[in-house]
Amino acid sequence: MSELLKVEKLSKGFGGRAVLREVGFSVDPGKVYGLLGRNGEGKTTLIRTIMGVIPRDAGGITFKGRALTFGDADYKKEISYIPEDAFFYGGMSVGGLLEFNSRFFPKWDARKAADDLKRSALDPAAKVRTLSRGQQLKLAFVAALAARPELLLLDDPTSGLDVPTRQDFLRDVIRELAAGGTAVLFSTHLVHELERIVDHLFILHGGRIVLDETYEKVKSLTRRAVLGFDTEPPESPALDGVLSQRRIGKDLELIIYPWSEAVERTLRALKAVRLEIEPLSLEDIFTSFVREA
Amino acid sequence: MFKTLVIKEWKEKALIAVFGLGVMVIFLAAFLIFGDNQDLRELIPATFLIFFFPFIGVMLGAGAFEPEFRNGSWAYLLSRPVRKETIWLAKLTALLSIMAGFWLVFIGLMAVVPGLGEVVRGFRFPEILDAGLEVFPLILLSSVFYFSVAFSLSILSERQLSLVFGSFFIGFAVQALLSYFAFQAEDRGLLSNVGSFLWLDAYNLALVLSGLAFLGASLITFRKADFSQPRKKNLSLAKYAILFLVLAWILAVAWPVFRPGPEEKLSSEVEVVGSEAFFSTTRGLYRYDIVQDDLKKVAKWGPNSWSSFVIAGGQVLYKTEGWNLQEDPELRFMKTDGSGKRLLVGGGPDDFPGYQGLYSDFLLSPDGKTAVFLTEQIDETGPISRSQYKTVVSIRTDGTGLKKLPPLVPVLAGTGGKNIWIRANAWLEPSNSLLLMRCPQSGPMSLWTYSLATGAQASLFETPRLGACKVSPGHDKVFIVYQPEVRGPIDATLLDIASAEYAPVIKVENPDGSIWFSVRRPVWNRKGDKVAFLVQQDGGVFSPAVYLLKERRVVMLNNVRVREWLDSAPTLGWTSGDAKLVLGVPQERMLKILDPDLAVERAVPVPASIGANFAAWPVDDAVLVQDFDKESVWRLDLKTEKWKRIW
Repeated sequence: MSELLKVEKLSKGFGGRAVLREVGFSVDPGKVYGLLGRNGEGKTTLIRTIMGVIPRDAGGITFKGRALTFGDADYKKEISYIPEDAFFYGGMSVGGLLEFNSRFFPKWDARKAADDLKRSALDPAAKVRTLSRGQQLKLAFVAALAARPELLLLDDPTSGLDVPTRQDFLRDVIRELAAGGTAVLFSTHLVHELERIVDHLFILHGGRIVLDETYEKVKSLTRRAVLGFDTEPPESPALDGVLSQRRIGKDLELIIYPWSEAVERTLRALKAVRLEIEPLSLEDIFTSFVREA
Repeated sequence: MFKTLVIKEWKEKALIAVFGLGVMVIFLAAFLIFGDNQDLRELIPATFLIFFFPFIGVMLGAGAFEPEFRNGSWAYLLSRPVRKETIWLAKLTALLSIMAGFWLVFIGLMAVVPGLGEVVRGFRFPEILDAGLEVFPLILLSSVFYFSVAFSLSILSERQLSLVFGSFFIGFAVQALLSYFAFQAEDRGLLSNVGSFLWLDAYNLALVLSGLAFLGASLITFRKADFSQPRKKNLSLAKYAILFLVLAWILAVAWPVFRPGPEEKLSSEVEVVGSEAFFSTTRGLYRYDIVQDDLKKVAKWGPNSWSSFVIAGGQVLYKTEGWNLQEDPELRFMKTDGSGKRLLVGGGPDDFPGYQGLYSDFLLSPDGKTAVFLTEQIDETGPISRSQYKTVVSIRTDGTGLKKLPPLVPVLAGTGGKNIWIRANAWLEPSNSLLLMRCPQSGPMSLWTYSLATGAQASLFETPRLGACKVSPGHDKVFIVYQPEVRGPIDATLLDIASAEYAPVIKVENPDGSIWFSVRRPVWNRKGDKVAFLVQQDGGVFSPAVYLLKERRVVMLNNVRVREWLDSAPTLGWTSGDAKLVLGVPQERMLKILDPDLAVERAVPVPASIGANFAAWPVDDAVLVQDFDKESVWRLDLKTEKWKRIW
């Protein structure tokens, strides 16, 4: 079994409101996974549940084939987790925090930690609470990477980074990790950034995974079709896979997934005076999947 | 990892440690500066003790999870590869160790700062336990309790002020509640079966268990609860805290019941009736059948009850009374084999409402069918005096026929609240009367008869001091040891009850004016024609003697000299069909068998496993030896000279 992490029928609610409903997916080593979802869709809850920070209501999580319970801790030695807001002990020094972390992770690479610290221009003697948000995130990355994890969970952390650092992180660090066999589950709202690095996409909507597909396939099978008519466009074309449709005057815009020749034939059969077919950006794809009807 | 977490906690709480040490320095300076002022010398340490330790406990406890709440670090900590129990325990260990550090510093100060230790050790609750109970350990216990409350609450919020006040409020409420119930339990005698002053133990136990209850609730909540849902987490802590507190209090209440009581100890000498021997312990009454070599516990009572018993006519009448004197004493009847137990007096308000009060001596008629006891004068309007037992009550041992007999006359029972102890000495069968011994706190002592038929009371004998008074097996004569003049010689005389005639037995000089009676342990033979006793001849040396009633003379064995030890007096008893005597000599660790001429026939050494303080009680051809040092009873077969421990 090659899958590193498997989530099955995981449910979690807060005060009677279901946030995650029977969520299921799996993560393989060496791949970068994008976890997309609107605000409040449960991305952070999902990641915290995987990390055993909060209990799940139902469902199962297995890591390297071993079923996890809420109280388990050992598996976390092989996972690094960087949240959106780096929550550190403010009273610790940068060096102290790394030293503190090193005690928990058996594969801790002190040299890498020292190198990354230097590259990030962080003073080991500085108190964590004196660091800016960006610096704290850098520190979080240093700590996470030095642990030599098999799985890196990123909960939308890059928004706090300046552009060059973010670029550097995305281009180099993540790909390097993946190349080394580390799986990365990257939850972000900066969707366009995933385009350069992601192998697989999960879209969380309405508490469920509504898309679980490789990025290439999603990219190649999602199309925007704009049909121009002389008269009023038809109300609802009999088509499968229409993620969204919009009327603009006598034009009808459709976002379709999965795209196929059969779909194209059906569209052409609608006798539109104009038919434009084009691929979508990841941002548009995401928007189409999560747009409310 | 545990060590790493503990060090992290220590570092985070360094400021509190510095603050606490600073306060200690200020306290020390104040004590040294104002130590000459007697009031301040006590006030400063008292104030420090009362406020500092509970406060520092609450401060430390309330801040336990504060760093995790700050900026949401709880999620960071919980995502580390370390079990939540380890995190919790590391916090507890680190914080408790800081508290212990303060204690050690203070104990060190007590040792090195002149006068401080003396002042602190002087803080006591004087009325608790004879020596007074030190306040310092109780303060430490309280501080741990307050710490545990604050520690538990700290997983709810990061608002330190609320936590500190909340912890003090809850801690104080629990402590006040426990104190109230502990005092109530003591007042109502609920703890009497485990000993006096055990309300304090019960209170301390309840406090410790309550602290553990809070900690337990905190651990489970920390382990299971969803920190992203504060309401759920709060409810979880409240739910478990209440559940565990209830369990803790149930345990504390159950503790006196299930706690192993004090070690069972002998509480009476052996009473020989025919071929059976009876003795009581702090837990019950035992009957030993010499022929069958069978020991049976025929009655049980609480480990902390006073008990006494009389045996007659195949029946046993026994009284039990709690140590704390809060409960009504209970008078029960049963057959000598332990069957047919019946509560005669006491045990609840519905039994005999008129006789709920205290009573002193009791007797059983020779046929075992009637019991008589002396009780206090029931007076609804005035205070009850324990020392005045004026009322005589009789009741049949089948529980019927409760009858108040004519009260003791004032000249016997005393007037005006004088402390006069009336002892019921014997039931004189031929005259159907009681032999009472009047023992006033001051003034002459006397022997009286009380007619059960008419209530007539008559003084038989009056003397400044009365010693042993032993009624003959036929209930017609009394062997009386007395002192005609204070610090004068000791006399023994034989009183014929019917004729009121006296037959002098022996007069023993008392040159050093000892207050002890130098004629001791008179013991009648079964036939009633001989009385054996021990005579102190000079100094502490005793010799066995026998008074022959027919010949009206004393035979004394001068070549058996026994020096009495302070707590191990020699004992004497008849054996071999009253032909021989057994003399127990603890000093020599010997049982000496005396022939009819009081010559030492043989001496049997006492095994080393028997302690130095023993008493020997002949029963037929055996001797029961009570070892009061090692709390055991042994049997010696006089024929085979084999020893056997029977209890």
